[in-house]
Amino acid sequence: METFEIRHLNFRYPNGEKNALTDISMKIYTGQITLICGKSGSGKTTLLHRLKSCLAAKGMQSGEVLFSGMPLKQIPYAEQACRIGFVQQHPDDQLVTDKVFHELAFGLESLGYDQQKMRLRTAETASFFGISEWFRQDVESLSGGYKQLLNLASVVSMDPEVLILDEPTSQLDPVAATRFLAMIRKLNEELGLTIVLTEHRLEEVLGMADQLAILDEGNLIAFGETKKVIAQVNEESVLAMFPTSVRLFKAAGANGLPPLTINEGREWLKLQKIEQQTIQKEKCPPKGMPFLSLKECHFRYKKDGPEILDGLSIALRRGEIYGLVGANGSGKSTTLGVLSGIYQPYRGGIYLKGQKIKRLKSIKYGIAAVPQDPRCLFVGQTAEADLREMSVDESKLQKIIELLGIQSILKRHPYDLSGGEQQRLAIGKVLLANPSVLLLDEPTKGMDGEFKEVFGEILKKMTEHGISIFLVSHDIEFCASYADRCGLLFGGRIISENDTHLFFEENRFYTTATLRMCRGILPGIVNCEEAVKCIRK
Amino acid sequence: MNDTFSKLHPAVTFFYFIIVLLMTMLTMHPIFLIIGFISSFCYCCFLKPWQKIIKMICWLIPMILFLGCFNAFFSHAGITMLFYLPNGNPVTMEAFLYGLATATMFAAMYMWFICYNTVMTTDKFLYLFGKKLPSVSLLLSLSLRFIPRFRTRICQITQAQEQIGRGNREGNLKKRLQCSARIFSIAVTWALESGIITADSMKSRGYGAGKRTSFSVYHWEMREKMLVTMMILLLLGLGIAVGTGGITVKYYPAIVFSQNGAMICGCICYTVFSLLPVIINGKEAFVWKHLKLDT
Repeated sequence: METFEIRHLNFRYPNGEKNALTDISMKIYTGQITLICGKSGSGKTTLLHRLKSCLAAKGMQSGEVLFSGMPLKQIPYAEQACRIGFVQQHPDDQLVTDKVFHELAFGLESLGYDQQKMRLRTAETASFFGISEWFRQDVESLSGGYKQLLNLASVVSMDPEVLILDEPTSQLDPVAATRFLAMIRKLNEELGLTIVLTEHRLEEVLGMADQLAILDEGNLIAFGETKKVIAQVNEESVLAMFPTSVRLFKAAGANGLPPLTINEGREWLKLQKIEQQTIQKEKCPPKGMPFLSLKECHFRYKKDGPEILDGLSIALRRGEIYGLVGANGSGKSTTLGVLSGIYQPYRGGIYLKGQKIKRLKSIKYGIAAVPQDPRCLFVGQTAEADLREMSVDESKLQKIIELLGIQSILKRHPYDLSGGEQQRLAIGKVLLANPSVLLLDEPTKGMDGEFKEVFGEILKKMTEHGISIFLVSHDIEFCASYADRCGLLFGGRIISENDTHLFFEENRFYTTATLRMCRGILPGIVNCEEAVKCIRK
Repeated sequence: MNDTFSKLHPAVTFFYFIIVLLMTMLTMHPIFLIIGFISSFCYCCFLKPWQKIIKMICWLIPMILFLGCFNAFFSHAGITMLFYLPNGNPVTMEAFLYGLATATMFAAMYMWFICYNTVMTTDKFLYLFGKKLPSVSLLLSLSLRFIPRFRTRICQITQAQEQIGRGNREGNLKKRLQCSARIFSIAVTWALESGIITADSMKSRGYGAGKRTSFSVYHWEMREKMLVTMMILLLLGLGIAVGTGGITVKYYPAIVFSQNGAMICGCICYTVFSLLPVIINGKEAFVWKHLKLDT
C-alpha cells in the first residue's frame, strides 16, 4: 500500500527561472523507510515540503500528490497536522515553548485534545523516547542532539502515520546523530511508521533505507530498492555522496549488489585480488618554528568548576592545516576559545613566533576565528556588501573572491545561501581582516560531499598563501583528507598527535571509515581516494 | 530544599500568597506585624540557603532601625517625649515606634515576595491565568523561550565580531556604539530568520486548527481540598476578629491597640495561616523521620 503517491509533479518558485522539481513520480510505501539524497540545491527540501500542504511554498505546481489515495489538497489542515509529521533541520529554531512537557503537548493543544488524553500521550511519548527524566526541564538546558530528539518526540506525540524528516542530523555531532537515527529505526520497526528522510551523511542511513531516490537539479534520476538503485548509478558526481564501501565497489567495476556497511564492505574486499601499492605522500607537511603555541595550559570556567583544559600543549606551524578531533566535552571549543583570546588560561604559556605573550588579542596578533554559525557575521543586504564593509581595497577583495570561488553568489542575500556557501562567505569576511592564523569550528557541518571537496581545496590554497589553519571537527573523513597534522583531544589534553596519515593509521576506532574497512586487507590506506587508486590500478 | 508547599496545586499556593500579602499590607497592629514578620522569615529560611538569609538580615535589620529613627526625626506627633533635637523639635516614642512598625511591614512584604518568587514560578502563573486565554499564555511561553536565546546569541555574535576587530569593548565611544548597534542588528535579523522556521514548525503541528486547549502537569487531590477548607475556616476566624475590632490600632497621639478576646482569636488564626507552609514542611519532615525509624 502506498502512503504517498506522487504523479508527474512539476514545481516552480514564483520568480524562479527554471523548475525546482521536474516531472517527479514516485510511490512511498507504508511502513518503509524512503531515503532521498542529492547535492544541496537539488530540490530535496522543496520536494519534502510538497508533501504537507501548510509547508508547501506558493508557486506553479502541476501534477498531483496523493496521500492514502486521496489528493493531498483535499485533506483538511487539522487532519494533515496530525497524520503527517514533519521535522526540519535546525533543532533550536523548531522548538516553540520553554518547557519540555509543553513542547510535547503543543500539537495536542492545537488540536484541542482534553487534559486526560494529553497526559496519556505526553507520558507515553516521553517513556518511549526515554526522555521522562527531563519532562519538567527548560528546553534551553538540553544539548542540540536532545533538542532534535525532543522535536521528533513532539511530532510523534500527535500519533502520525508518516514522518517526514528534512536533514534531521545535519546539525548534530556524530554521537547524537547515531542516537537520533536509531530512534527513527525504532519508530519504524516498533510502530510501523512510514519514514521519508533526506540526508547527506549517508554512511549510517543507507543501511536502513528500504527505498532510495536520487535527485539532481530537480530531476529524479533514480528510484527504487536501495541496493538496486546504487547498482544502476554510475555518474562520478553522484557516487561522491556514497560511503567508502560503495565507492570502492564501483571503482573496482564490480557488478551485482553493492556492500552498504563497513562489515559488508570488508567481506567483499577480502574476496578481491589486489596488488599492494605503496602510497606516495604528495606533500611533506611544513616543519619549523611553530607560529602559535600553547604550553601546558590549564583552564576552567569557574573557580571550583572542573578542569576543562588540563595541561594542554599544542603548536601550529606556519602554512599548515591542523585538525583537532575528539569527543564532545573533551575541550575542543575551549581550546579554540583560548587560541582566539576569548578565554585566558590560568596557568601555562601562550607563545607567538616563539615569544611568550601575556594575553592574546586575536586580531592584533593576526589570529581570527570563524564562528561555528556563520550567521554571527552577516550584516549586509548582499554577500558583496558584506565583504565590502570589511575592506575598501578592491584588488584584495577580488583576490579573496577568486580564492573562495564565490563570484556567483555575490548578489544574493547571505541568509539565502546554503550552509556551505555561508561558511565560505564568512571565511571571506574573516580573511579580509588579514589574519595569518585561521581558526575554524566545525566548518563542514551541513555541507554535502562534493562541497566538502571544494572547501578542502580552498583551505589548501590558503595555506599556499602562508596562512595556518587550525580546525576543530567531528568530521574525521575531512580531517583525514585535508589536514597535515592531527591531534586527539581527551580530558583537556592532547593524547596523540602526528602527521595525518600516521595518526589515523595508529587509531583503532577513532579513525576513518575507509581505514576501518581496509584494516588488515589494504594496509596503510587512510582515505577513500587512496583506496580507489589502489583498486583501479 | 525539598519544599512540599510548592508542590501543591498552583491555585492553592496563589490563594495563600494573596491572603498573607493582603493581611501584611492591611494591618499595623504590632502583634500581627510581628507574626507576619516571623512567619515570612521562617518560610524564607526554609526556601533559601543560609548564606543568602544572612545577607538579607544584614541589610533588613539596619533598614528597619533606620526607618524608625527617620520617622522619629521628621514626625513630632505623640505624647511620650524622649528628648529634644538641637533645633528644638521633640522626638517622641510614638513616632519612633510608628516608623519601626512601617519598616517591619515592608520587611515582611519583602520576604513574602521572595517566597512568592521562589514558589510561584512563571509556568505556574501561566497555568493559572492561561486557561482562559490560551493564546496569551502561548505568547508568554514563546517569549520566555525567546529572551534567553536572544541573550546567548548576542554573546556569540559579540565574540565573533571581536574576532574581526568589530568588538564593542574597544575603541572610542562612537566606535563602541556603532559596533553595539551592529551586533544588535545582526541578532534581530537572525531572530527574524529563525522565527520563520518556528512559525513553520507551529503550522506543521496544527497551530490555529481550532480551539486550543491548555496542557498542565498539576493535579487537584484530596490534600488540596483539605488545605483549602482549612484555609477558608482560618480566614473566617480572622474575618470575625477583624469585624469585632480585633486589629484596631492607633499610634498618635498615644499608642492604643486592641487587647481583647477577638484579638487573641485573630492572632491564633493568623499565626496558623501564615505558618501553613512551615507546618506542612514540618509534618513532612516528621513523617520521614518516622519512616526511617520504622525500617
